[in-house]
Amino acid sequence: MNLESLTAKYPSERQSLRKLAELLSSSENQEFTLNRLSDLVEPNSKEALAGALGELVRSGEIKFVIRVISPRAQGGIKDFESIEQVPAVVYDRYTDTQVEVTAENLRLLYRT
Amino acid sequence: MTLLERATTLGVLSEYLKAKQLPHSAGSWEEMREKRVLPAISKQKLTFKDLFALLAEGEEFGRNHTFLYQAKQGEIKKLFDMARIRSIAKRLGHERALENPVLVDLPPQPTIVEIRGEHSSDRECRVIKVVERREERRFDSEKIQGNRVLREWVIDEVRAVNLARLHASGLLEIRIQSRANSTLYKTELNQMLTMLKDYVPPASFREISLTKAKHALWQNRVEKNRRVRFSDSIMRNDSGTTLLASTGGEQADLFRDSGASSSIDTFLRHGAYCDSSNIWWLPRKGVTEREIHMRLSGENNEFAITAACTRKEYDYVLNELRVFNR
Repeated sequence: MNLESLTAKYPSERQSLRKLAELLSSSENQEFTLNRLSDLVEPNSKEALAGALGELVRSGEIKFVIRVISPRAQGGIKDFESIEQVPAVVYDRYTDTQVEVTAENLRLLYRT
Repeated sequence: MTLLERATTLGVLSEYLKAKQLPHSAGSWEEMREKRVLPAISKQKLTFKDLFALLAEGEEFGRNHTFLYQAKQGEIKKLFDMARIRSIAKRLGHERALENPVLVDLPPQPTIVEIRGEHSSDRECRVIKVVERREERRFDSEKIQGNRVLREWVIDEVRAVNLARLHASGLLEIRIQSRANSTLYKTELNQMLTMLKDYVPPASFREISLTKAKHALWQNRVEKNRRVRFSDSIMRNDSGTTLLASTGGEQADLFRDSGASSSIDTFLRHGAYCDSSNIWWLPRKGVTEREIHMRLSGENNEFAITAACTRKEYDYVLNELRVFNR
């Protein structure tokens, strides 16, 4: 993670970006929501943190996934790279049923 | 009474009558009206003004999702200054809301109906109340025509009350009335923040994450003076695993199931965190004789009180939550 260029772009997030760099360097195959990351790195602004994460996604340092979760089991059904790829209906293996995808059963994740 | 039935619950009205040392128990709205409210009015122990005040309180406390923010230290005094608030209201044409509540039922646009100073737990605060017209979908029927299933929903127009309450400490609550068809409140929250941006500029505040409270409430279950019971909880870890535990019945307590409880403890010890919970604040002497249901879910700074409650009950659970969040 290029801490310097990110800090130059988000100077008020110097401290939280340092924490983010430490977290990402020590995490392998981990996944975080924006809320979870916000708790872990305590940014001044969640929007700025989201902006910095967007930069890291674009540079390929982390991945952004949209996960459809089972409304009953809360487990992940399938991951997608963009909202356009998310189908209207998916097969929920936890319950052996077809479930309609709504905003309520989507989870946006950053993966290391 | 019909308005009261819509805005509040029998429990809240009962608590209110009790606080006035009036007969208060009733098993139905009809019984409440015939045996409690009308006799109290005829004996002049209860006035219509009291009922209007209760109606206003019923609209504001409970059945809402609250989002918590803290003002930046150097800006609290300025933000809280009533003269500044008055001047903004005049500039934006909201001065009517400063004098008396503006009476609107289903306004075409969200409308600021009241701007006032008041006290919460003996401390001063500022309140801006907004009324909006919402459309809620109610499932109506299902028909089969040939090889097609047609499901119909009726669109109901609903009066929704949202408000911002700024405390002298810099704590800001944005309360959004609960919706019937969704658990997501981002749109309504952004609408409120935009509408009130001159009074409470978003850049002057930061979110208060309630993650510490979620964890501390779970730890508090073994304390002698425990405050809550859990009915369900979702724990997650950063590997993507989810642990969901919920009780069989509404009245049951997850804490009493030592197997489930210790599974969650073990998961937490291995780096998991509490993502969401349904908790019930236990009755508290001098505050309430009933349990208050709180949903801790959604955004980090969000909680919901799912049923109507009194001001005293709301302030009690808000204060307790903040103590657990330290």
